[in-house]
Amino acid sequence: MNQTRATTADETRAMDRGKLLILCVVAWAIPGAGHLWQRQTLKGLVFLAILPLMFGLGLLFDGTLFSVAPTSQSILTTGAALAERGMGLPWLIAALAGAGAGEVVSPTYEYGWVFMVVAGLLNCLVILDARDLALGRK
Amino acid sequence: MRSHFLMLVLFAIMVSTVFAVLQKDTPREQLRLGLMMAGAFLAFAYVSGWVMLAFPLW
Repeated sequence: MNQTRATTADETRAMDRGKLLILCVVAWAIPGAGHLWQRQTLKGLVFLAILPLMFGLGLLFDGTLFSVAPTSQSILTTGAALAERGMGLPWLIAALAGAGAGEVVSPTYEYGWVFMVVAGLLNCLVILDARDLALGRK
Repeated sequence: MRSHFLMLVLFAIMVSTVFAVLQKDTPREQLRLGLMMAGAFLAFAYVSGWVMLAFPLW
């Protein structure tokens, strides 16, 4: 009897873990989706509006999509590349569309990549917040 | 757009909004924190801009 109860509890926990993983993946792919899923509509819409806008502005300001090549570039550049990937679908779309070549001589180049990197990092914070909400920590 | 100040303002507004919405739950608190944070961003950038004037590149 006790064993049956333990198994059921484990299964429930495993299911929750699976759901949590899906939630985090969705929140990564679409900024704010994790909050929208949990009926935090206002928060979700703010993230959905601002983070892709920030990333898009970065592209518009001649920012670059950094590549992950830790052996041939500085560790900071690799960090920036990983941070940009935190943006999810907008990053993927930009990469597939060949955007973000990066105009190094442009006066706005530095602003551009900073906008893109910060947008990705903020989305990571948003994912963690959605996870905490789902776990009932907030 | 080539105005550095306008870009700074845009950056400050967007980052402050995200932080304020993450940190606070009621719209009133979010607005208050967002305005304070954006103001702090701008004030710090403005002051540090003038301070840097005293240390030119050489």
